[in-house]
Amino acid sequence: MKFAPLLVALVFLPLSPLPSFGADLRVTLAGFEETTGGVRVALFASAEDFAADRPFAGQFRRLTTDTVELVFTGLAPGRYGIITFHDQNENEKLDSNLVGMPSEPLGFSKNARGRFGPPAFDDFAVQLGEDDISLEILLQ
Amino acid sequence: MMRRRDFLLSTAGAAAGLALGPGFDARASTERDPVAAAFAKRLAEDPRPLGYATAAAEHFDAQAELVSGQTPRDLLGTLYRNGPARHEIGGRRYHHWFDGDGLVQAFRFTGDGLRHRARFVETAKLANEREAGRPLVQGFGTSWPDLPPLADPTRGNPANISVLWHADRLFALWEAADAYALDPESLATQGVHTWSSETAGVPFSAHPRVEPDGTLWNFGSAPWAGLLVVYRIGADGRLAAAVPIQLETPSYVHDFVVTENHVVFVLPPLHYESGGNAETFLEQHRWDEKAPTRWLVVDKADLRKRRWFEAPPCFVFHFANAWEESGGLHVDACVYPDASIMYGQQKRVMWGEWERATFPTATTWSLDLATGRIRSEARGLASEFPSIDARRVGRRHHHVVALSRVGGDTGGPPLLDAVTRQNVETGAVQSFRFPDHVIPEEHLLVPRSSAVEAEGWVIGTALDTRERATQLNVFDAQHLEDGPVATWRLPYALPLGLHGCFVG
Repeated sequence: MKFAPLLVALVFLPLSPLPSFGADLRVTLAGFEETTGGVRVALFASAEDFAADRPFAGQFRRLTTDTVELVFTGLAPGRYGIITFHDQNENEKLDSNLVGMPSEPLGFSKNARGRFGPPAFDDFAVQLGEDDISLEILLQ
Repeated sequence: MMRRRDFLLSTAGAAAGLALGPGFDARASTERDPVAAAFAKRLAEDPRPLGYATAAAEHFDAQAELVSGQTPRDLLGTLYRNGPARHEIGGRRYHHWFDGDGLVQAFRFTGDGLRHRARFVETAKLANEREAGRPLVQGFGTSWPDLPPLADPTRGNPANISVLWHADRLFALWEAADAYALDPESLATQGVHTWSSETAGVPFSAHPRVEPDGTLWNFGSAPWAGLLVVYRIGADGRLAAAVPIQLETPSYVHDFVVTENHVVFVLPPLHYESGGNAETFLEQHRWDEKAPTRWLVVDKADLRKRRWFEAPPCFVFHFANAWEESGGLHVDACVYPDASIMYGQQKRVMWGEWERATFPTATTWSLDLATGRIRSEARGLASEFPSIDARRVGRRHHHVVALSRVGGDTGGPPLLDAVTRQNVETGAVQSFRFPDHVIPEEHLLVPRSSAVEAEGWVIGTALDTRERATQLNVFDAQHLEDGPVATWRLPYALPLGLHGCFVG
């Protein structure tokens, strides 16, 4: 699998759904080498959605500090995976080079890494039950 | 970020200008992994695997001692070389020869002597791992289960295969990520070199071809994306084109050739397979003995014009050159029957052991562009690390200098043991065989300024495992069999390296 599908997923970020009764997924993003631009975060709710490039929710934050904290609230129990990238030039896409390798820092939940491409959903998905959980993702 | 706690060795090392850095001092390694322990044990018993040990220092700077012959007074210039030289860090030893970090060397002929200098390429990988005191990324042929897979080859770039001199600049090259620019005098690393923003991080092979007019052709293989990128860079160092070519069956490809009108790739059936559970980049490739070797011939004037041809399966690391004549493309290659050397010998040596090696055969292939027929003519010589008169790149050449295996099974390491010069037309060979305890490295054909092809010198390094010292030999290019006209010895041994270039 190549990184290319991420371009689409992270450009057309859906609006976060309205809070419902459920747990919160708190995310701390770190590893930013500069505070220019912003950070885009996409939440996937299943391997099928990830494969179809269909995020469940997305958020954007302009960078002012070297860490960012955000929350996806009211999530039903299930498995969720996060992909995030530092949109350094705020062009709303993950820039990549001629062979499709990202040229902007990115990260996955569980700080998972793929081999010359994104990791499989199973490798970065976290299980969410009724309790809130917190994750830290290091962008590289 | 990186701490340079270099210190001088107090004894002979200081005199020779050795400076040790953290991670290079064997005494600092308290625990060794099984490969490192096995190698250390072997080396204590037998000096011959010395060339696969980690360099004794991070910097080297010394005057070489002329041990025989005379310095050729009209030989001026610098031999630059590169090769893997840090094979262990924090007690862990790589499992493959191609994984170690690149040490770039300069041998400077000053008219009255020979000065040697060497320095590791200060890659992001080396700096981060020095800081951490342990490996942080998987290698080309090494996998450690506690390290994450290599998501992006730029993070694993050891800049360890070759050096390039182009548009008055010096570069250290790997093959799966960017070139590093170096200061040609001090060898200090200037940083990652990008030809353009969209080629940042794109593979740039270690075997660019520079034509007589200064035009540089190269390729970058990104099999994980099914792409082969063709680069054309002007004599001024500016990128003129970077064109990705989609491959149906991506292969491992290390070198290529150019002719007057074409760029030619010979893609062996060592196919890349994405996904799966392969532990290393190397293991992600599979030898498919039923598949052909595929030739991709690209029109230089219009890189969209491409033709494909097929030949029986074989494997090539290195080509000497190629040319066009009477409706055909002629390719001079060092041909292996398969790619087993990368999975056998080049891993075995990391344990300080040897396998029965397969040596490649000097071969001239002729492709008839009208019929697509490829004729193969083996020239009866084991041949690797080929070098030609650089003024003949892409044009017909008549002489190839290469390393060869001349001696039989001596019970010693089954390594290349001789330097040869072969006449491509007649097959006539001249050779010089090194003593059993001296292991030759790549030798380059360095022409005199005269117009005659292959008249000048043959220059190369060798590791004397008995004296535990690296030597440099200069031969008269037309009389290899007479032995070196001059031999210099360094006050230290350097790891066996890969490729170099001579800058006059």
